[in-house]
Amino acid sequence: MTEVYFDTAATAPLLPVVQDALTASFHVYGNPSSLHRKGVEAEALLKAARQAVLKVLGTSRGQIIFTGGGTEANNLAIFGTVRQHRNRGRHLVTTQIEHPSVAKAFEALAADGWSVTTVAPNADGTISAERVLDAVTDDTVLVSVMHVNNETGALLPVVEIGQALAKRPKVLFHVDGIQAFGKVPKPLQTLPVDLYTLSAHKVGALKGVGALYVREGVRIAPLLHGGGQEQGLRSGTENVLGIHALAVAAEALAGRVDEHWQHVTRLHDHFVERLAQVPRCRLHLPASKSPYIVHASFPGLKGEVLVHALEADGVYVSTGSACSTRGGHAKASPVLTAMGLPAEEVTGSLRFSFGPWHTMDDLDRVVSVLTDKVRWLIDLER
Amino acid sequence: MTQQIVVRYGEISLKGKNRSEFERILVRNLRNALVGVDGARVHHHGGRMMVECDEADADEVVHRLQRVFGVVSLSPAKVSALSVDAMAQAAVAVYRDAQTGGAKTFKVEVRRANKRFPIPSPELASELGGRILKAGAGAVVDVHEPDVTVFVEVRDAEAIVYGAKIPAVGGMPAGSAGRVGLLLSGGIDSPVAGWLAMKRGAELEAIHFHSYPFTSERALQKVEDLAQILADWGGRVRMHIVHFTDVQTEIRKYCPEALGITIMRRMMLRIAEEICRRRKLLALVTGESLGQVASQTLESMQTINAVTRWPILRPLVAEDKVDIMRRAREIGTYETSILPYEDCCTIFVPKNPRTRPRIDEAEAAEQALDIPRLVEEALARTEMKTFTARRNG
Repeated sequence: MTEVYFDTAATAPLLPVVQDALTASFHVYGNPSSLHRKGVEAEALLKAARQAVLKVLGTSRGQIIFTGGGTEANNLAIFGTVRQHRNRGRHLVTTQIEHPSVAKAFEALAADGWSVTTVAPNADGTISAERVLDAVTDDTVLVSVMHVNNETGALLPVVEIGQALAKRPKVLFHVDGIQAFGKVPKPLQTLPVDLYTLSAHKVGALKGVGALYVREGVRIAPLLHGGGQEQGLRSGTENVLGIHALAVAAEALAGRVDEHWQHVTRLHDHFVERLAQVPRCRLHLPASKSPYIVHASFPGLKGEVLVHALEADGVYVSTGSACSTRGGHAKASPVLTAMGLPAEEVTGSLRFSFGPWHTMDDLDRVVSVLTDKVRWLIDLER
Repeated sequence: MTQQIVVRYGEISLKGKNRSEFERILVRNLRNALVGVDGARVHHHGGRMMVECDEADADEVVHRLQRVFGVVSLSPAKVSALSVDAMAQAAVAVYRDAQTGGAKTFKVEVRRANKRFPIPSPELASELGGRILKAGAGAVVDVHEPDVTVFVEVRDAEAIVYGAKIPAVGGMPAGSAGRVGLLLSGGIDSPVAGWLAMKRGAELEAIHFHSYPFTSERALQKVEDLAQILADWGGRVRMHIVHFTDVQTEIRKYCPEALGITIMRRMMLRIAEEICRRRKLLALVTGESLGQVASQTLESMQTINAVTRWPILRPLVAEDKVDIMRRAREIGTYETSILPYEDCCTIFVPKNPRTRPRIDEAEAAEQALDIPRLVEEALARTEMKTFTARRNG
């Protein structure tokens, strides 16, 4: 049975080039902080990795702080900012469609006495830049807005927000770019941002590695204290090979992001056209979106059952986002609920997410399996 | 230092003819429970079981023995030479241990298995009691309701002296009562019902109905975890996984919705009975509790039960939910049971199920089903897995 993995927004398979590079690097065991040559050898990998990541981001300046994953990088951005700049004010701005690694961080700060404005999405899942900017006051310390939403693929107006916020140098701007890194071409070329999060395993490297881009001159406080690695912002011996894997994936992507975007856009448009023919399918397409993610509902059916039915034929997709499932059981997505979707559309929702290696044949196969399974389930209704 | 532990096994000593067989199984189960504890040995002679182990392992050994079905209570014991002084020293030590645990009043009981020992039991008891009074600050004799009874057993080569009785799980040795089938869902009740059957000596063969894609691989994993927890109680547990999707979808398509659950349960019993026949399982155990859900009214039970002549044991029939939950926590299945995965009983739940279905209407509702074919196909798609106790030694 040929398998089609349409769940790259949850995690992507290891790129073959990353696998080869890792195999070739297992002898590098040095601690990058060691003075001797073993340390130097490991440190060289980290240095190259920072350059490779900056290149995909589309900038040559700024710090790359490697962390133990995207969640940690988001937490470092948010808690690191409020800790460093708590005397600037007590107000924070974010949106209602953030990933839990951002949303829960703000909930914790709200419980700690911070005033947090969470901007509601439009019905199509996009966020209005104006509403975010209207929420900013003289007391605002941090604005955090994701680049691409992990459930709907909505592309948020971060450039517009960033440009406006540039006039308020005391307000730091964080963008969670986990679903955009390696997909949206050179984001930092046009986006004025202080902090930008990315994750390695979403682009075909290993789990357990993330990074936070910190613009030159921006100061935040560390969450982990210790040996002072990563410019003092993330103590702990670096995951050298994990970071190297990210570097290799980034290098492999660097020159091809545009080409991939165009290819995936063609896939997306074709897929959306075909999906519209599937019985009972309701597409949720934000006006501005990444082509890598497509979200659809099948009201009356259960997303969880559809996931298992598709899996039986080798097609892997998600309900909502994998992070909204606890222990493998889907919970109602707060993002979809915030968009005002009726309960049956939330329960019956599926997320398809692509990789640049997918083909039109993959799409056709998914649509055909999906159509069969949906018909079968509708047939069992009363 | 070696530590002796007295192992008491209540009921099985009552069963005259089968006694030696039961004892043989219990000794085997005790030995299995102690695998990995170096130097632990089980001795059995003269209707008395003793476990000998290194003093350092005593707590671990007691903990493991407490979970062996058939063991009623345990007492860590001191071994002394056959002299009054040595026995008195041991008796005082046992009393002092009990005193640290809050005991004040005591009595001494002597059992003189070795009649060549010159002092008769009552005299020896009063002598040892006197020594405890002399040695123990604030010791008080109470022959009727003592806080601690100091037992002294005079044997051929030594005397053993012990006080505290540590309660154990009780029941009958696992594997002494034959094999039963257990309808195991992912819920709270059925693992408890299976555990109670195991406690009465039955060996379990769990039967689980899996309805992929309506239930997930995680739901199946959860049931396998439950089977493993039951196996850890000291017995092999086999599990038959019946792929039940087609049966459920046919019921859904061809039978009246209100009777869906009744017919599903009847199909389960038909398949389970056939597994019992093939695997030589003498009865079926279920976690049903009277009145708990719509399929567990007396009318429902009768209508569902009507498809089989196999004995159905319902150890929880009169239990309240809270008591079943407490028991599930005690035996370690609760945390797994409450994981929120769908099981085959929670999909296709009718809006208005018949709570008092009659046999004739169930039979009429099943007319559209080719029952022998469905049973046969489900059996052909049944897989078996085996779980044995995990030893952490």
